[in-house]
Amino acid sequence: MKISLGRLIREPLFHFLLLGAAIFFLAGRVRNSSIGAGEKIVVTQSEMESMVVGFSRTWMRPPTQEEMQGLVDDYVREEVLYREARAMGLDQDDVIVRRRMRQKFEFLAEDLATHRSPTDQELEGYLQQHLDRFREEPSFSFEHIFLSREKHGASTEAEAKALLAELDGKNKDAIDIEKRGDTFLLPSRFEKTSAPETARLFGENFATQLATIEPGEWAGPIESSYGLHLVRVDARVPGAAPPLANVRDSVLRDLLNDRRKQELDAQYSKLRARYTVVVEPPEVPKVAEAR
Amino acid sequence: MKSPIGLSNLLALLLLLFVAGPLVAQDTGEPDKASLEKAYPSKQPYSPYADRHFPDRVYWGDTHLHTSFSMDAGAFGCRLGPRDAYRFAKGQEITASSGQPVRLARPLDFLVVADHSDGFGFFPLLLSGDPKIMADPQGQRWNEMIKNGQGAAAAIDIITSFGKGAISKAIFPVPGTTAFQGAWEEVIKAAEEANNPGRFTAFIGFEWTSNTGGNNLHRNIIFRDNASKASLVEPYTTQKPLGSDNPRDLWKWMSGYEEKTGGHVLAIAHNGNLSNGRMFPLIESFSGKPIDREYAETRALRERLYEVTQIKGDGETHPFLSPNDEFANFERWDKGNLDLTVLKKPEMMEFEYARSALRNGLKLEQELGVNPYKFGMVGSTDAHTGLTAIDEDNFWGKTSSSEPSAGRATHPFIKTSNATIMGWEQTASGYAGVWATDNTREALFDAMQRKEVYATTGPRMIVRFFAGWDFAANDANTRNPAVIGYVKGVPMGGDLTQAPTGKTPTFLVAALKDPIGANLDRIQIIKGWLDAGGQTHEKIYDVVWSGDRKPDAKGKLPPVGDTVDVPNATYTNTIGATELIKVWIDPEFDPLQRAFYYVRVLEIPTPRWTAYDAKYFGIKMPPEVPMKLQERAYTSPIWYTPEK
Repeated sequence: MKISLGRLIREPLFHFLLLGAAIFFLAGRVRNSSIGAGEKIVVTQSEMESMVVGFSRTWMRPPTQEEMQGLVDDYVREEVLYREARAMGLDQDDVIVRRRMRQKFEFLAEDLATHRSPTDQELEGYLQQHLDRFREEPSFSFEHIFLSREKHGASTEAEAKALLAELDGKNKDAIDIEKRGDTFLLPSRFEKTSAPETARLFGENFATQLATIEPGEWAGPIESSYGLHLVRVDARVPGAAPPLANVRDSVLRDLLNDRRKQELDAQYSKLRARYTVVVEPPEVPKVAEAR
Repeated sequence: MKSPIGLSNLLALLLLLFVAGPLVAQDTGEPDKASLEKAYPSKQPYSPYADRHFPDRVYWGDTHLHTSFSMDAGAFGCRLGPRDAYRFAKGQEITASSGQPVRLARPLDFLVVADHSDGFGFFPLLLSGDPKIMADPQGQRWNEMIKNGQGAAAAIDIITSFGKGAISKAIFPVPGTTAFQGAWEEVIKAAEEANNPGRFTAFIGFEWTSNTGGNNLHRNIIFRDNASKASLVEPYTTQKPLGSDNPRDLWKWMSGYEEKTGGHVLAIAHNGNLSNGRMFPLIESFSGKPIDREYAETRALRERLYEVTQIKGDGETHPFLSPNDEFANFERWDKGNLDLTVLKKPEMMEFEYARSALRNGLKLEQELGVNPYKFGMVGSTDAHTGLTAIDEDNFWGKTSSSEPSAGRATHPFIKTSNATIMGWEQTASGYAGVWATDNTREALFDAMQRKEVYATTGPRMIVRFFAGWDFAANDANTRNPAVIGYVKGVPMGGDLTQAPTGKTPTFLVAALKDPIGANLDRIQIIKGWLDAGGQTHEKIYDVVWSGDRKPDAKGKLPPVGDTVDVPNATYTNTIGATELIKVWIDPEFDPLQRAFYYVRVLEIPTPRWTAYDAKYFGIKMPPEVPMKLQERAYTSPIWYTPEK
């Protein structure tokens, strides 16, 4: 009599036997391991302290006497079952356990990488290598006077030019710009405002034009999203490579990040070298052959 | 009423008397008045910029964004985490979960990643086929559905099950578990890394998602503090026994955090429109009793802002509640509760919308002595994509399954046996504008707490709103209206009390269009008040508008016009105004009546996101789909409270 494997698998008697065998096997292991006998579980003071901390984090108060007893009981229960489970090898094929162990290992490796703080020299070197990432945007300090097209219509340009002529050559402090031009909801003066920021506030065109204006004198008019502006640039800081002091934190963060990655890879390839890996070719099912 | 400038002078003087005084006395005898005046001249300093401590910049942000750490976002296909969300908000180009490149037109100034605390980190476990989850029939079913490409259906099932409290206890991460703690640590780390004081603020936060029976009572929690304090706690959840679905318990948790750490947190509720009458109650749904003074006091303290507009509908008011408001019917979601398990009844609406809540707040203040609904207003996205992208021409949808695609508008967004919400009903909205002195966690948080904030449905128009007793028409013509605004009045979110005899409140209101957006149609002031008989009322005033339109005999202003070319999804700024400003005096003021005033700014009509979709994908939208809209801003109110 020929019995196919598929039919056997569906056979209830086969299930029964398999189950029986499994129970027998497990029971045997539990008995054999019998690590419980004479084993000691010590709940240390520091473990109890960490239970209190854990509880307080959730409840935002320390546990009562009864709750503390509950925590200790639960800890003991967990410890007993943890030891027994390990003795039975239940940690072997568990995806979560495996992943957690891998994670812990990686944390260790990462700790190694960041254990030693980089020296200033190393930071400086890293900054020079990745200047693009840390470059400071150009920025302006400027004052402006707004002229509304809605108020002045076709004569807005002419009015702007007339006002510019009036301002021309005048001492900086001789003009109260708060009293000139039209009502406007943005401030009259901007300090060290970056080019992208200026574009966000006034529109792209304004920022582009502003970059071409020589510091010192009133100039313009230049067009924003709102109307015309006379502007006086006080200071223009071109985009520049920053000194380390200005970007130290970001450089440190990026450098450590890189180091972590490198350390992980280095560790892994060292360990990987100890193993021979065989990837089995896929088994070709019979059906596929027949096709 | 003290303006910040007056206050700072006063402080300077006190400092001089208490600190400098004794020193001066020791060396040169008592200071005389003349020498004091020389040190602190009473007139305005020569430099107009000196001595200004008021906020002169508005910072833009989103207080409510979800990433893959939220269980439902993950189920809908979101694969972007908090770090990606912050990078995107800073203006970097990234790849969306749907595989498409995406970038903002302009970076934001701040962002709160607010993932659901319930099931924090649940989704990564579900997706990876965690054995514990696979051992549970429900978890296994969801895992299978997602693997078979039915992620959206799984997500809705997850949300519905959560609403019913029907998620198996065995598979749900709760505070204290590794999955939960790990997710919270990641959220904190991402915020700490992205936070760059002065340039970009990344707040630590989470969403407390009270949703019993599918009724939306959600609140976002925002920390003023950094990791050293925030990591001392774990986010509060709604699942018993560790959490609770009752806001009173959330407020207790907030107090607990503040007492324990010395830190500060605030809560912002959202989507009253999906609460089926429970968001702004007169009768508490949890006890069945009228709300008491303790509830009112705590809510007023803990919930100083309300998220009035977002993708799941705009919540300012409803045509049923405001039949005389011609702009009330705007992007409304009014079919039922969050999961559409219970349909809407008209009598629920009074307790769902911001304007009616502000009105009921006046009534409750009369009865209880405290106004529980004295909130300022912000807009935010509530996007579940990791992408805070709600510009009409760059709208990335509520969930990753509604990221741009030819069919997203015409597929149902939620469908139950009761009702259907179509994809096109998603609202591309909103952002929060914050008047702060600096772009830091502290400065922005403090501005939120004093309600100096406003909501927009997306555009970044600048809006100022001041109230005082002495604004004169000419104050609207000063070069920088904010100076006079702070000197003579209080800003949005503030209070007027004790009307001087014979005086009427005056308001200075101004708006400047979004620099890359549409022109403005009009500014309105919306007033609500409580009459002597205990009834509340509302009235809408057109205060200033573009062009030379004249109101008709009934006082109705003609529409601004319409330049929208729907097939091409364009418009022109040939109508409307770039800037509007006016001093307005309440013509019907009664010093004995409690009142609130807030501003609504309307843009000219522009193409809705559905028009941009139709053009890009070359599709025809069904006739019921709106293709244009008038974007708007709502400011926090200013309240008038009579003397006792």
